Amino acid sequence: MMRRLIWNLLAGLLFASFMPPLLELTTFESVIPFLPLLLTPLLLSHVRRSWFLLGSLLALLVSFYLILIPGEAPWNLFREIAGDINRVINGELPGRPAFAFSIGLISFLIGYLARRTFPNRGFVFGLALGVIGFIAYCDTWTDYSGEQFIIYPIVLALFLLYATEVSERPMASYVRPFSALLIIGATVVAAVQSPVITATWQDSWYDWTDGFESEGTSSSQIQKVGYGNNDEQLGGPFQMDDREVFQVESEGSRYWRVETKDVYTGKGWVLSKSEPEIDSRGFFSHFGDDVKKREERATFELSRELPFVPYNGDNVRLSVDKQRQNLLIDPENQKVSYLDDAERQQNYQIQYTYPLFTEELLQTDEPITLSEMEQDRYLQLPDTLPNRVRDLAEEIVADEDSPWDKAKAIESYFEQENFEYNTEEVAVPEENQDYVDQFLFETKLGYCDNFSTSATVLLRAVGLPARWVKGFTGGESDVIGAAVTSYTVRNKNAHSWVEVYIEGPGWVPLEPTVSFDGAGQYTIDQETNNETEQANPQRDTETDTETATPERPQENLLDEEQTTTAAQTEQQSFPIWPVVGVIVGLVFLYLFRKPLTRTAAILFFRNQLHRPEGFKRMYRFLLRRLDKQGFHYKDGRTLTELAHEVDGYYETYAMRPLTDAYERMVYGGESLSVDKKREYFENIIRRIEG
Amino acid sequence: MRTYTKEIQAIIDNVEKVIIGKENVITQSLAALLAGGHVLLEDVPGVGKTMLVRAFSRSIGLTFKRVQFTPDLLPSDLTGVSMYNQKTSQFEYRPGPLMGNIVLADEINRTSPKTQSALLEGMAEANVTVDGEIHTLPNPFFVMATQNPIEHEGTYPLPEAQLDRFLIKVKMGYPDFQQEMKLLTRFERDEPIETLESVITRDELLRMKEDVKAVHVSQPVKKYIVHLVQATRTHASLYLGASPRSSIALMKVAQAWAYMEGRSFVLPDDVKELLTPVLSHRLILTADARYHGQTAERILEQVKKEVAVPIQQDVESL
Repeated sequence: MMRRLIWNLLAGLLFASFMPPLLELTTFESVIPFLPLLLTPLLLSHVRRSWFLLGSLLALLVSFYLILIPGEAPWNLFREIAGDINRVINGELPGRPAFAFSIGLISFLIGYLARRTFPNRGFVFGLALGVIGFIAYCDTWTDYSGEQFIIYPIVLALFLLYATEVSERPMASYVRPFSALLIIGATVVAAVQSPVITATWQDSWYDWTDGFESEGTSSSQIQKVGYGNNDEQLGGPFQMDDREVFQVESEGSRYWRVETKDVYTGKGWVLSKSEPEIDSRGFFSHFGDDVKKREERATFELSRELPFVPYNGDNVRLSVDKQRQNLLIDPENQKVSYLDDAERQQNYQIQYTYPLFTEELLQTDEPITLSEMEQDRYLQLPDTLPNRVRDLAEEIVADEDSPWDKAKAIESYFEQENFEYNTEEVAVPEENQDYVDQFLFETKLGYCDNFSTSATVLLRAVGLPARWVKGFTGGESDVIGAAVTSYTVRNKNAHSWVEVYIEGPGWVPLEPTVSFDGAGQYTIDQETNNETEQANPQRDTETDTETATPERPQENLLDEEQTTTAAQTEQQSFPIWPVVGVIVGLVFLYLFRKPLTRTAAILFFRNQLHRPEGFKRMYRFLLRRLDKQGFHYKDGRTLTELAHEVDGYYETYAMRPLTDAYERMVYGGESLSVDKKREYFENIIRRIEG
Repeated sequence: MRTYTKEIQAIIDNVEKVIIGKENVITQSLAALLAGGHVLLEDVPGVGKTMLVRAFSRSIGLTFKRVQFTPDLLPSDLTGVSMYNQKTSQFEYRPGPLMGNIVLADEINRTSPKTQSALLEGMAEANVTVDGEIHTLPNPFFVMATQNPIEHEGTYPLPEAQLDRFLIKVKMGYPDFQQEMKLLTRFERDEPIETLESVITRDELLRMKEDVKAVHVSQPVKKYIVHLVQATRTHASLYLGASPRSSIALMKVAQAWAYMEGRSFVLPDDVKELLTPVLSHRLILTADARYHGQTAERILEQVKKEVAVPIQQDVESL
């Protein structure tokens, strides 16, 4: 009894191990509401069937209640389910109830299987294979990282196997504790001592999840570099990712801008809310009227769909096959996207104006003319920002006069102070620690996010409006002509930098990240200012000095509105609900096949038994049912032998009189009627189908 | 536990007074008697073969004759001879030991084939020919022949054709510990066989034999018999399967068996039960099977498992 309980618990925990990766991919936050759903059927797998069914059903309801509507009245659950059914009928995707129901159904089936097969090595093996396989699958194909977690199901599976196999057999008293210790020891030693080999297969998440859009929540420690939407939590190490994002033919290596963010929270960046507006001209003003601009063209060939249009400079226009497309431009973050997603193309050309600043223009000391609202936005700093950050900012710019010189001083501060570029040992700030503060004073090592965020904060601290920009660096070049060069931009080229507002030139990009030279952000106009060229070497060097280091980690978080579970995403292409309905129906029929057969048989034969033919038919029906139960009349057993076995097994006296009567009819040619034959028949069929 | 009709149970009880724990042998022999056949008892000396036969004859009130088969036994020693009567100047027939209701032919394989065939002729024809004259054997005529399976020196094993004439072959076997203890107690003071009294008369036995013939054998049971017998003919380990005569034998014994249990019809159970005693002495194993230690009994067990029992009337054959 105790052993069965332990076994049940182990099996339940092993089964529940598939949830953490699933949670990573869905909007469910915690595994706890699922626990009754996951554990109950397995825990109850040894009790009487009625209790098993009732308990599982109850667990389903409790879990539904916990999962779906915490804090609401229980009857709302039914409304929720009804709504879900309604959605399915209307051909829409079901919501969270259906997802939870699927999990509940799987859990129930596993519990039922355990009930029927216990104790069975095959069951343990199958369950472990399924769960571990699922975790491995999620690790390989999704953002989920199971490196730490996978040890639990493996250990659980070993213990479960131990509970199934080893403890079953008679053996010397020391063998059991010894083998239990051996399992623990071997697992630990193997885990600690095994040489870690670099993965042979690259985790190929993007190839299978539609570009950047299908994203799941991620709290995993290791991130993958790439372009993501969520910057609320910066920090932590990340891995290289060499997959191509796009190829572009342009007039030089250019930074490709995607969007900006304005609110620094102390942990990362968020965007103040805004409504996108349609701007068919694709025009918005980054730069002052006095800035000299050059029209440039770039031809993009996307390797995967992007929900935005990377660009440089200002005044973006996009054409596909020389056909102008309408664009959607968000004035708040300058993100450019298609007006109609359906028109998205893999190959297109953009036109933009590329700024040519002059030193004279940059060295202005004009007061800032941004609106008050804009000043608030771009000078925003969290209240929690430690004072030493502000002090440091003041210290850095102490010797500088013009805003531009101050900005340059902050930009080059990191280089001077020997901050280190590193992607692997990057810390995540503690609960009440500021991201920038940690980087500036403690770690002094990090990647572009650390540098750009810190520079933005420092700029704001000295009263210079600044914003944080995300996008891609120029990528690797691959010369095709004198004027036009092709560049390959990969995930590892995702980058972040800073724009500072200088009255006159407008928003000027800065590149604070050490080992990046900012080539392709803008060009200092040589013709008008030869003198300053030496002091400020041309940023646009036309050469690719990119280091091969990845630049920005990818993080993913669902936009609340776009929330879809992984399960639902799959269902989009395949009408799974009718199939599930059929399966549920079949499962129902299967589970209740015995009472159903019993009732049907009793009803069917009720009025036939008094006729010899009816009686014989009934008897042969019994024989077929018994054959299914393992009483084979075909392997040379005589009916009398069979009847004795059956009555002995079911502890009845029913098969013998029926057999006797049948034998009299078939072998004796008599047609005797048996007393109480209906009673005998009902008696035996209840036992067979019981 | 099987149940028998009152008469049969009385015979069995009576015989069991001297033969302890051998109900199977008693009932099978009785079935052969009722079916009008003869029994081959194959066993070592001293297990009670003679006692069994004597008990039978006493229980039914029949005459009992015993012939010890020796190498020098002549056919006339069995059948009897014609002797010249000087008073009547006529040849008179002096009946031999075969002229009894129940004949125990002890160690039948010790005598010459010539004498063996005289016995077998009598068994088959129910009469003997002496000096051209046919003498009918008494009714019922029931032979129980014994054969010692251990000794081969100086024996004349019966050819298969002859063995075929025995309806069943039974093995006595040794009693177990309890039975043997009981045996000693019973024989401690006197010979119980001497006090055995008949429980049925000869006429009653003859009537019973007639009744046995009336026991119904249904189509499915006949089918079962034929399936079983044919299965021995195609069995890989058998050089020679069972003959059609053995099909008939099986059916007859099954009828008797059903009658003994008070049934008016044969069940497949009867056939299955009697398959081994009826067929085991009629099969010849291949040299290969013998080499591998197969026995006819084991092969028949196998056949019983392979042949399905027909469980319904075959509409076509009716």
